[in-house]
Amino acid sequence: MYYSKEGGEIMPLAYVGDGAIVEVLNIGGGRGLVRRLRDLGIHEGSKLKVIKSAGPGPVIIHLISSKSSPIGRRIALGFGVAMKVLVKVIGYDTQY
Amino acid sequence: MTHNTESREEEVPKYKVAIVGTPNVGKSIIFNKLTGGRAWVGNWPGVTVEKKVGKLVGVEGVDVEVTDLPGIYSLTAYSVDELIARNFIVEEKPDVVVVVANAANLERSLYLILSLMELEANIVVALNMIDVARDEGYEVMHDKLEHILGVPVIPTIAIANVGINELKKAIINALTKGSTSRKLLINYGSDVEKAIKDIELMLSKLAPGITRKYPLRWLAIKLLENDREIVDKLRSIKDFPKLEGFINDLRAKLEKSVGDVEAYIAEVKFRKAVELSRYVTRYITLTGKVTITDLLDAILTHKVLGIPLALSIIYLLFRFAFDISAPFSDVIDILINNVVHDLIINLESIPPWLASLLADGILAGVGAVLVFLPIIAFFFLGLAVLEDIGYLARLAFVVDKIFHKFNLPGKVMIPLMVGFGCNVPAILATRTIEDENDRKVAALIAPLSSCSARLPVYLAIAGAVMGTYAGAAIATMYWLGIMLALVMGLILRKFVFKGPTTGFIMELPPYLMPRPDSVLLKTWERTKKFLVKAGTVILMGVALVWVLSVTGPTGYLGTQALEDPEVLSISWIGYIGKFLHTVMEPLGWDWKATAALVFGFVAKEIVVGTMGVLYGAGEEGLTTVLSKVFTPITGFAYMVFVLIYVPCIATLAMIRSELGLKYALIALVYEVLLAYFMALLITSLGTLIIG
Repeated sequence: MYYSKEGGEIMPLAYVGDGAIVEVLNIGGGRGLVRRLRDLGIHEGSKLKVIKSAGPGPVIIHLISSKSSPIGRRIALGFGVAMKVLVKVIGYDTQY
Repeated sequence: MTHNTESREEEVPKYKVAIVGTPNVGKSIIFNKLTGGRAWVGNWPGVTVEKKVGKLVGVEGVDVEVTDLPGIYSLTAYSVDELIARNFIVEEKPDVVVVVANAANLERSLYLILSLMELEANIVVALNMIDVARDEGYEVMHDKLEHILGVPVIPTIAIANVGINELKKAIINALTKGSTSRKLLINYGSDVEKAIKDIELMLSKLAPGITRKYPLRWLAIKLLENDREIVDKLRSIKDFPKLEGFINDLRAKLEKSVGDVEAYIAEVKFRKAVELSRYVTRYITLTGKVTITDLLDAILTHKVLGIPLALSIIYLLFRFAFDISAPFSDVIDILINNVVHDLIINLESIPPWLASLLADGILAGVGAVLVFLPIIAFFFLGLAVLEDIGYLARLAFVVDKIFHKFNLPGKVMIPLMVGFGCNVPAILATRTIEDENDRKVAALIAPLSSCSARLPVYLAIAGAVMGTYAGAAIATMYWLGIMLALVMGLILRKFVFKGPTTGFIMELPPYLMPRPDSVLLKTWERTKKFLVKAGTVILMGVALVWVLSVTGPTGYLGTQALEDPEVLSISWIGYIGKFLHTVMEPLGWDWKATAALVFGFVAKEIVVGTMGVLYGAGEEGLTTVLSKVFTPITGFAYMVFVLIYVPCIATLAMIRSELGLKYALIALVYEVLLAYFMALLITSLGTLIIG
């Protein structure tokens, strides 16, 4: 149920398991993709919780903290997009 | 600020409290709650920054003056606000500094707290906006933070008056107890720490007066950072050049190992703030509404169940639209084809040709279309409910894995779904697709989605020649439409609209109870598109069909052309049908069926009406006639042709206005070719297999 101190692994968002809380380190890909993700609140430093990762398939995330968007948003990202978002796992929500 | 130095009669002890915090943290609200909203407003000396001072209310036995400092992020000498706050704290030495921290953005607040701790201020932290943090899905463990910092941390929601009394108590307590904060919280690394120690030693020797006034470690750090204000303050001491030279040497040495010292110190402090905030923050389960969303998403977007559930939901949507609308359609049918039709025909005051144009042309044509209005309206109603609940976004998510194989994002599913009702709003629905190439492809394939206008054609032909397989044949049309859309999407995306796929990105709104007004508005917006089409394009189209039927190269043939196939065959329609028939020959349809297709270009619904006219049969007789005209194979091929061959004029017009004429022409050409190819394929294969 609570944030744990475990984690720290760095990997593409597409590989992160359900319930992981991650911080976005970097977004690869074109400026268009970076802008679209930013509009939805996903940028370097924003924090996400992975609700569902059906790899290799789309990923659903829940926005926990962001500078560019109200938090609480739920966003689906295709596998290709999720592969371009590099994240660091900062904890797990063990409810999942 | 002179009033607390006067009058010795008052026996109550006097104290000074300052309030600091990052901007937009609710600092002013806390100030107002503490002072009861009464404050002297003035300016800070020399600058036009507002200064507010008030008295702490609701406490007894003490006289506490509260000063609201400007909102700041740190305590450098670079901004007026920061200088004011810093100077107030170092010069006026308030007995307590209340730091209003943002629980929803703890890092920045902790940076400020760490800076204040270096100033050796007697700190009380008001951890504000804990409600916002909770909404964001985490909480700050204030007791843990209190333990680490060694200062009281009071959780508050200033705006709701939560924690204000506790904050007052903590302030009073801190006033009497003095600072409890831990020292040396931040370690800047051995090199820098040694330099700090060296400067401290030097300072106590050279400027004992100054070191009594300011915290020694803070002074040393500021000198190492080359802080203008502090350097200027020390200029007056006797051995300043010696001190300055010593510090400059130290700084130059450090710069070799850590780079710019000021930036390095800020960075270490910020990293510490981040580390601390992580340590005291924990993520909590998200609140009520989201839990329902979690639950529904767990089922509706399930890896295995997602697709079957989607199919069931779409099936229910169709059942809802068809079953509920049936009685409404019957009423419209009776009204138009019996009541109004008879009314017009029996009008004595207008010439027979005009009565025929109105009754047999316009009324019959538009009427045939309007009969489908209830199906479309109820389909869009059901769709709007699914959309407002939040399911359509999930549907896009569920199909994304499949669509991805066709180089299309799952979002394309939404225009295809709208297309089941009417292709015209389906083209509009492509607007939500951000990627330009994806959007164009979606608009070009959306007309392959089998709209309700095609249904009467399927019903008429399948009913006539398919027997017990009629239902299956009709369902096949819907599947075939989607599959062709996907295949065409792949081809268009691969060869025409190349360029990288930006991939699938879509917000999934929380599941909500649909609001009636929003649902009705959406239903109306889409149904209106269909109504406008019936009122304009189709109206003109059916008038044209009538004109081309009652006239020919020989001139006006009279309205009997509509009853007598012999006369009709020498009308313009007859010639067009017979001309196209040469091309369509391999498909095994006669010229009348072919001519009907020409008018399906106006609107697909007209195909049935035109066949009725051309074969000289009423609604009841048409089935019998069609069962003689078509075989199951040619009939099925005809249905497939109707599915594919061209979106109606209104859809083409919509593609034109959304994407331009070029794309409307592309849609027209590719669909006619594809329809011909598919019909030929079915006819050839069918003949080969069945004989």
